[in-house]
Amino acid sequence: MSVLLSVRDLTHRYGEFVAVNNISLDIQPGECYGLLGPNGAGKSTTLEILEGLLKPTQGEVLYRGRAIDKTFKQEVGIQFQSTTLPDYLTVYDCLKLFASFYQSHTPIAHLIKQCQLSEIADKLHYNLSGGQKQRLLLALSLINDPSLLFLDEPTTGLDPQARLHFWQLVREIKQQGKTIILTTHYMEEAEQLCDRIAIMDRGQFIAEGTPADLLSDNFLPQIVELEGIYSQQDFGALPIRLSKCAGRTRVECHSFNELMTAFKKAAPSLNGMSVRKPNLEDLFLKLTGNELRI
Amino acid sequence: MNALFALISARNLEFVRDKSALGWSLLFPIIIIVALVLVFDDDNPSLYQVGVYGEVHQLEQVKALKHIEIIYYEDLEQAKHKVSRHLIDGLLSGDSYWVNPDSAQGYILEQVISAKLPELKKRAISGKAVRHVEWLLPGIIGMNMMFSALYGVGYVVVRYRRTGVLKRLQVTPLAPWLFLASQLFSRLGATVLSAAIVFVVIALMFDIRPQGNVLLLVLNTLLGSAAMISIGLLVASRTRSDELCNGLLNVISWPMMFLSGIWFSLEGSKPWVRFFADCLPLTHMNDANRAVIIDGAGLLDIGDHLLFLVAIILICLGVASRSFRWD
Repeated sequence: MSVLLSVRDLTHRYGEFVAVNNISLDIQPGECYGLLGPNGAGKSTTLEILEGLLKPTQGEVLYRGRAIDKTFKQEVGIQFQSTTLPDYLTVYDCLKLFASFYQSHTPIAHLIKQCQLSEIADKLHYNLSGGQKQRLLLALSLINDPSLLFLDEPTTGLDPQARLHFWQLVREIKQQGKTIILTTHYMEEAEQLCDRIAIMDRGQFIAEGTPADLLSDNFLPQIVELEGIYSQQDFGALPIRLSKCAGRTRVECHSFNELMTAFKKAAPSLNGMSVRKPNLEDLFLKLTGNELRI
Repeated sequence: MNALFALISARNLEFVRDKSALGWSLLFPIIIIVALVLVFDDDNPSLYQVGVYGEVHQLEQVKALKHIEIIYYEDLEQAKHKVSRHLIDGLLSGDSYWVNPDSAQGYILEQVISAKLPELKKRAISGKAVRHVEWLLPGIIGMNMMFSALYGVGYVVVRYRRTGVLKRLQVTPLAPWLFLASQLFSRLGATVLSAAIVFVVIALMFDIRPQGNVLLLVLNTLLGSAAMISIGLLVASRTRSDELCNGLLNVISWPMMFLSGIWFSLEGSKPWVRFFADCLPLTHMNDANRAVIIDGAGLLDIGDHLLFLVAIILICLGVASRSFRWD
């Protein structure tokens, strides 16, 4: 399949400050691509360039093999982190207004159903709850039946239930074959929705791939956290990785059973012990550093 | 009590650190005062304006009076017309004088003339003397339209830009000129409709009957309003700052307040003031509306005014859509 969006050697500077430093990526049709990174990593700048809002200092962005032109706006949908809509419009009014901007649009009734807006269709948009507002903004970004959808931190500030609900909507959109570029601060969200992710830091990609590949490249299959401080000698020659924090020891290992068998001392208390698989949160903190950025 | 002082201090910091707001609050009154002084730079502004045509016996006695300004006219009929339109308070020529019976200033002036120049004979001004309300009404409505047009679009567009409404519109295929046109037409409808209602109510209350074609009034009002909305859109085409927008709109609206013939006529003022006034769209709309209401002017008579308004619309909208910024 041909690449939908291709980014080559992208660099963007604000004066002396290099916000994006020579990144390249290819977005395949139908995939959900996650752009992750700490605040100030250059995610927003990258996204604005991909959305066609910002001209990069260097490099090129090709949509279906061609530079971004007027047809691009007809074919993409964008949900910003926060958007203000003109006052005194109901949910239905907003959809109707945005539908008028496009040559062809998805039937409004269909969008209302898809994004579950039917109960609030006659409500003024500024009276909506956080989750309802995000669903409206999602519906607005789908109004032109886009091939490529940008979701910029779509669930920031939502309660857990609204977030789960929103994820379900995104999965349904994926099933329709739409390509999605998503930014988020929630690693769980990326794990749930993204086929591939890129982690950005200081303007560069420091990791890129499928979540499973990235995790197996960076971690042993299991993480065991133990109460108390242990060192390598306690486990003999077993291939493990240890880290210590606040009176606890974190052990990466191939198998929990092997670890327990290898224990030289009396086995540690089961109290306070946890066994889990590594997740993207672990990866994110490992790659971008645990220390607080100031 | 601490909270009170802390809040006062925080608000003061906010105000002082917002450079544009601070700048305007200082600069604006200075500009207004300097401008007013320049426009009316007589030590004692005249209370009465008297037109003079040809020879007038004992004119020196009138000139010796304080607070009376003498304006010379080349054309007697034109000067009489000015009296009937409240543009000047009275007219002297040969052995005659003219005042408008509907003018309070004219009445006082008449008392002065009969005391100082008793041999002058009173003459009736030919044609209908215009009541003051007929002269004032188009100006007041025009002023109202000006504020509604300038601030109505200026503030809204700047707020849309600041809060991100425009950013969301930017990523749709909507063209800037289409957005500007939508603001123009929606405001135009509101402004012209409300002006029409006010006009009808006042016209019924004071029994004002326009001499000319009402459709011509509508055309003129549409063009005048569109011209001022276009100026508002031009001002709001780039800035994100409410204060800057407010300041620029003040700079544009205040001269129109004073110089477009709303409150007083610019009869006898300096040529550069007249020239400046002629550059303001409200002057043209007011003049054209008065000509239609009072004199029954036709399309050709007010053609120049209409062309000027069309030019303002085209220039402002053209520049605004070229320089327009979504963010």
